[in-house]
This record gives sequence, structure tokens and C-alpha cells, in this order.
Amino acid sequence: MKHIILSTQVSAFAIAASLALTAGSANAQQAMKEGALGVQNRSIGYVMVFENRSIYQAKDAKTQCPTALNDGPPEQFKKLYPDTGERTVEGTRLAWEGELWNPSAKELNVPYYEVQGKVGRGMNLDGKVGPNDYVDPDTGEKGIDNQIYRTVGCTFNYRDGQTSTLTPQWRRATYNIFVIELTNVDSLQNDDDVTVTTYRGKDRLITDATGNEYLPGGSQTLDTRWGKRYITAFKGKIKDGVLTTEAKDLIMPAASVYAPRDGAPDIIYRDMRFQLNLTDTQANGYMGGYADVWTWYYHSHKTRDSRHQAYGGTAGPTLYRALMKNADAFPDANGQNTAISTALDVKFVHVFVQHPGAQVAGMVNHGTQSAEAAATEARARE
Amino acid sequence: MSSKVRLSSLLRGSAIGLAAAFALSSCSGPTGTEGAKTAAGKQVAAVQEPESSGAEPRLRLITRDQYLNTLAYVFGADVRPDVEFAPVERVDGLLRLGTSRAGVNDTQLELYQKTAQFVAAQVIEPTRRNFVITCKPVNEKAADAACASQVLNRVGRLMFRKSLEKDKLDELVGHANSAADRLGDFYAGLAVSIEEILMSPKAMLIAEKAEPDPKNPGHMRLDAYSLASRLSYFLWDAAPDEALLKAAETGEIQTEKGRARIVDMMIASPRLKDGLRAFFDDMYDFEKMTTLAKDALVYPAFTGLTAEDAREQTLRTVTDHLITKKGDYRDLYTTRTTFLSPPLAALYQLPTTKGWIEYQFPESSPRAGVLTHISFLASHSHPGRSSPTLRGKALRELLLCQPVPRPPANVDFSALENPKAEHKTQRDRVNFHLENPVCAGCHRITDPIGLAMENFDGSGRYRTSERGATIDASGNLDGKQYTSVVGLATALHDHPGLTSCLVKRVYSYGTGSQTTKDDAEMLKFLNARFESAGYRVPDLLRTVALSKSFSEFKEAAPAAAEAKTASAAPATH
Repeated sequence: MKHIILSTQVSAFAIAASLALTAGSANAQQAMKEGALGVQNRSIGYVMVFENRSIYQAKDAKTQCPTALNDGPPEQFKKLYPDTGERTVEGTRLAWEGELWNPSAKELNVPYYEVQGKVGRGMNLDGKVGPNDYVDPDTGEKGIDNQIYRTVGCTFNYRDGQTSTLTPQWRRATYNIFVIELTNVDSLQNDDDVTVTTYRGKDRLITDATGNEYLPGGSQTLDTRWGKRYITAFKGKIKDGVLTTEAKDLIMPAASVYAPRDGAPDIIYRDMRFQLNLTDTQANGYMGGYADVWTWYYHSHKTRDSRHQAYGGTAGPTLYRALMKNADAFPDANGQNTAISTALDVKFVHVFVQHPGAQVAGMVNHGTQSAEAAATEARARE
Repeated sequence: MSSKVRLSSLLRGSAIGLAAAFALSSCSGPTGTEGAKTAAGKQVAAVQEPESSGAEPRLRLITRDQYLNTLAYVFGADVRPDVEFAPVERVDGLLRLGTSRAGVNDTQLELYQKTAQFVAAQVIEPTRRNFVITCKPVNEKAADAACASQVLNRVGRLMFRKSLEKDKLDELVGHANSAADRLGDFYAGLAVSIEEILMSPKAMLIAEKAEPDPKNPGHMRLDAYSLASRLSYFLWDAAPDEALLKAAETGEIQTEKGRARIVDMMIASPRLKDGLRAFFDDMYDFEKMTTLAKDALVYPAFTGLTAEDAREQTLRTVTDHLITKKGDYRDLYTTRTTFLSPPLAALYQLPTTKGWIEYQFPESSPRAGVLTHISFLASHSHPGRSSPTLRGKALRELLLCQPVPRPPANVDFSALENPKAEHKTQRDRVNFHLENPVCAGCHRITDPIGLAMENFDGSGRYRTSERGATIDASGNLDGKQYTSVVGLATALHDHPGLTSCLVKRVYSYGTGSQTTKDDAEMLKFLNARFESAGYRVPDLLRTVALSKSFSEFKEAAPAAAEAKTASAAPATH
């Protein structure tokens, strides 16, 4: 159990770190060596190119979900509001909408299936081995905290290869570009004191000729103006090429791929931390923490239309109740936990980080084309 | 159109008569004995323009970019149809020369018609019509001859590159009025006649006409409108603007002083960049960049966007160096200053930011000059591997004007296609060429050059080794030894063929004529002027544009002066 007050404001430490980094980069105007993708000036950047919930998939789904996968909205609607003769809009469609967007606490007389068994992937967030924790199928590590896996592991939408919102396309959307910058780095193999700062990036990702694979060596300009809430600095260390960080609250940009202006909320994670295998070109591994239940639930419904909910077997009313039942951290005044443990499978590729106001290394500046003018020209080309 | 019009015939005006050759020694002026100041302010030594046969009038098919640049001037830059015209034959290193050998078939006509229709529809859109249509009809639902005449006169004049004759204008207005009355819409009627103008042969074909030169008996010269067009397509890659047409109408363009004023105005115009871009795009054979593709498994970072930006990078570098910085042409092949965009930076693996930035490679960088641009390296490589031969051949042919013979028909490529395992680098593999006497003759003049660029793979990305073996980038260019591509760039910079090739290309491009041995003295003169001007390209353009041979020619035997159609003489290509 955690008892930390959630703040959506970036910490003073993060701001200070960001400003310091900006100042440092501004001095590094000498052109860089071509193809040098590793640590430069004791820093290295990566941009997220893949994100998915850590949902362990047994070879046989029946071992995890012996009864069935969960019903979707059409099936659940029929069970909740059976055709017994005279029905009203208020008692059926409006009631469903009410349960979807303002779920009540009352019991619903429909089944909801959770993952069975003790095997699951993710991270041990609290350092303990509890009765509801999982064992990692690959490493045998015990104490894996991943109650979102328990909650949605038998829902088609969240199983591998299905219509989950957290797909490669998710981070391709410009608003959702998520950048981490490692600073104070002496070595990507072993360094007991590095800083990992998160940002929203503003530039398109660079893909290969197929458009499906993301390439290292691109550049990302950081959004330090409107994206302040996404800036968080983590202290960390690198051991044998694996980065681990402290746990801190983190807000991640999460606009809908399908309707980016549709008011989808950010996703708020409590006590988030990184565990990444680092190379000069990639950073792959886990991000783990506790997802704020309401924003996680609201986001999942706000970013997918009814078609995806129906195809993916995701019925909001029962999902919300399951999330609240399995939430395992950050209780409110009534003792109800408000956050649920989770882990994300993540992949990053190397990116050159450009702090606003800092000149690009090697750029010839005649003072004739401001960054804004360059951006305008770029928009015109698009 | 069922027949194919052949454009290779020359058009000539009527000759008054032949007379003794004019004594050019009496000439003076911007290209004559008085000398001139260069763009860099340097006083150029006086060199006499020699007597030459001059460049005869041509009938040419308008190029896509010429058409679009003209549309932009007439209707505004946002009227830009997404269209590709049929390719033309490359002649003596230039597509521009091929436009006078092109044909027009039914499919192309249909394309012209669709383009014209699209543009006409754009022009009368309510949001745009106020820009082009400067008058208001009395009634928008009916014909208005006065307003239509005003608009069509302007559009026709700019698209036909000369004032409309009254009969033609009346015909266009009549068509617009008839359509307006039938459609109940003045603007829709106007669009019909605008479309007619845009796809007219007068717009799509550039027909130069000659007239006897009153000051040089026995010589012909381009008429004023033809001279305006030749200058405009040479320097701006577009039809003449209002100022040029006015100078043609008044005859100012035919005076020495007036022509100098106009050429100076054109060279000082921002539109010179369009002209220079078009020239170098042609000379560098960049049309192939539109279809350039790489094996995505071998070069995943090379995309269609990379090719597009690589072309743009080089053209930006060219115009920045030659116009903005008034640089020495030779330095284009050694300069470390260029431009980067995000897709290019990803291939170079360098940091950048949104849009294009001017970028300076450090002194330690292996990148120096156009030879090390992705455009050159990637376009002269195979889809899945680099090619010292193609790169060497391109340097010889494009930059030094030295044609390399095609390989013999029975050449055995197996040693290259299925190389031995111990042949790790391209140098190992192409050495086969030198062991085979059939191949060695030509490959000796290409491979040593191309091997210097082996530190760049087939996509243009820098590398130091190939299949585990360190790359040896040494070689020689016509006896000048080097150990890296930077050394090759320096050798090219100092090669006399570099500047003389540009002179030849510029002269051919401007006059629309392939050079012959009769032009030797003229080219020698231009080379001397170019050298005196510090190899500043705007000065070279000025010299060519003001030269007598640009606009005058000796009349040849009358047998050559006729136009033919396919029905009479089928096209041969």
C-alpha cells in the first residue's frame, strides 16, 4: 500500500533539471561526428516506439481463462436488460450509458472472468511477495505486481495482437511522442548515478522504407511549454547494461489514435519506474507502476469507439468494477484503493534530443530562419 | 490528335538576304571589349566574343516545371496541379535539349487537357478569383464581354508569351460568352476559355522565330518575343513576365543597353533560383530521383522521402553557394556547408530539428561537396549495393562532360553478381574489371574515381568497413592521387574539365542547342570569361545571356528551314 499525494504538476526538481540540460546543450554547437548514436556530452535520448501492457499469454488460453473470455457490450447489454416485454430507453440504453460513464457500486448480475493461476509478467513494485502476486514465467522472479493483468487478461481486447489501444500505432501519433533523456551518464554499462527525464516530443518518428519499423538516429524537439506536466526526472543507475530508476508519479500523453482531439485524458501512473536494457541504439524492457483507476478506465473508453469495444469484448460496467476490486494501492479516505498495479512492455530507439532554444549541433545560424520559421516551413511542406 | 507532331525541325523567319560577314571586332558592350564587373565586384578582363555560327531558333515542348512556374506567376503559387509530363530524351547530357525532339501523343494531350481543366477550375474558385479576375462582371449569371476580354487578354499574353492578336482574343471572348450564356455563369464561361489557353499549342510549345538582323546583314536574330522567352526559360525556367514582355513590345530587349538592363534585372531577381535549380536538376540527372528506390532490407533508412529530400538538399546547396554566397563554382565540390532535413539527418545519423537547417560538416568529416551528398551517392548505386563504376561514370559524364562507352553486349557480369567469398569489398570485386582486357579500357577511367566514394554505402550512409574488411578509398583522377573522397573532391575542384563542362552545359542549356565543333571558339571565350569572373555562375549566365551567339545566328542553306508533321515524316524515336 502506498500513501502518496498525487500531483499533476511537475516537480521543482524536474524543472531545474530541464533548465540545466537546456543550458548545457546550448553550448554544444560543434557538429557531431556522423553516426555517433551513443552517449554524447554525457547524455543520450530515446523515443518510445512500442508500448503494450504486460499481459502474459499462456500457450493454451484455457489455463488462464478456463471458463471463457469476457462478454462484450452487446452480449452484456442483453444480459443486463433482457427483453421481457415492455422496455424503456431510460431503463436500457440510458442506463447502460450511465453505468459506462458514471459507474455505480451496485452489483451487476453478469459474469466477469479474471485470469487464473500464478504466472504473470511485470515487475515487483513493492519489493514483497504477496498472495496475489505472480511469478515471472521466464526468470522465475516472485512478487510480480500486475493486477491489471489479472483484471483484463481474459478480455479479448487486451490479449496479444488484438485491438488494444496500446499498439505500435499509439506512439506514432504525434501528440503521444514520449521521450526519455538520460543525463549524467558515464557509461551505458555501469553507472550508479544517472538521471532519466521524461518529455513529450514534438516531431514525427522516423520509420524505415516499409513504414513499420522505427529507426534510431532521428531527432526530437521537446515540448517544454505545453508539455510541462509530462516532464518528470527520475534518479537511476545502470548495472550490466540495465537501467533501473526510482519510483515517481508520471503522466503520459495519451491522445486517441482515432480521435486525437476527442478529449482523451492523459494516463496517470503512480510510483512509475523504469527497467530497461540499454544499447547505443535501443532501450527495451519494462515500465511499471500503479495506474490511476479512473483515468485508466475513462481513457480506455474514451479512445475507442463502440466498434472496438464490441469486437474486443470490453464491457465498461463490469470492467470498472473489476478494476476497483483488484486495485491494490493508494487508498482514499474510505479505504478504497484508487490505483492498480501494472507493467508496460516498452521499446525505445535512440533519438537526438533537441531542447527548445538550443541550437542544433553543426547548424549554421545566420539569424535568418528562426526555429519557428523552420517549423512553419516544415508545416507548409507537409 | 491522331498525328504526332515532330519538333526537331527548325523554325526560321524570312531572310532578307545574305551579306558579308559582320566584323565582330567592331562590337563592344557587356560581353565585348569593354569588359564588365562580376557579381563579386571583380573587374573582368576584356575578352572579345569570337564569331560563331550562333544558336538557331528551336521549337520546344514546354517542361513540367516551366509550365508550373508560369502558372504560379500567372495565377498564384497555390495553383499547382499535381501532374507529371511525359519524359523526354536526354541529349548531350541535358533533358532540355531533348525537348526539341519530343513528340506529343493523344495520351499527353489528354493530360494537358485535364491539367488545364483543373487549373481553370481552381482559378474561378470564389476564394481565388479576385486574384486573377481583376474585373467584376455586371451580372455573374451572364456573359460579360468587357470583363472576359480583360482577363483573357492578360492570361493569354502571359501564357502565349506575346500579346494576343485581336482575332484570337475575340475568338476566346466569344467562347467564354457563349459558354457563360449557356451555363448561366460568367465564371464558368471564363473557365472554358482559360482552359483553351492553357492547353493551346501556343502555350505548350515554345516556338522561337527569327528575323533578319538589321544591324548585321546576312545574320538572323531571334525576334523580340522569342528572345524574351529564351532569356526567361534560361534564367527563370518560366515564361516571360510582364516586364520582359513589355521590353519585347517596345523593342528595348533588342538594344544592347536594354538587353543588359533586363538580364541584370533577371539575375538580381529571386526567380534566378528557379532557373538555377532547373539547370542543375537537369545537369545532375536528378529526374531519376523521382523513381529511385533501395532494397528496404539492405537500406531500411532510405525511403521515398529520403530521395526527395536528398535532391532538395543538393539543389539548396547549389543555389545557396552560387547565388546567396556568390561562391566559386568549383567550391561546390569541396564545401562542407549544406542543408539537412529530418529524413536526411536520420540517414546521416546527425541531430536536427524541424524543417530545413543549414548545416556545417566539421573539418574531420568525410563529407565535402556534392559528391558526398546522398543524392549523388545513392542515385549512382545499385538498389542493394554501392557501385564504384556507376559513381565514376557519373562523375565523368555529368561533371566533366566525358562520355563513357556502354559495356559490350557480351560482357560477363558473373564475377560481380556472384563474387568470391574472399572478395569482401567492392574494390576486391571491381578489380576483376581490370584483369579482363574487354572491361579494363573503360573501367580504368571510372573505377578509380568511384572507389574513392566507397566509404559511403549504396544509400549514402558513411561506413569504414565492408563485410569486416577496412575500406581503401584511395585512387586517382587523371593522374592526381588521393586517399579519400575528400582528396577526390579536391582533385575534381582543380580539374580543368569541371569548369569547361559547366560552360558547355550552360551554353547548350541556354540556347537549346547541342554544341558542335563550330562552337569551340565561343566556348573558349566563355571559359576565359568564367575564369576571369572567379568562376561565379551568375556571371557566366550573364555572359551567355548577353552574347551575340545566344540570340543571333548565321543563316544556313534554306533546305533546313521547314516544319514537318508525322503524317509527312514519322517520328524516329
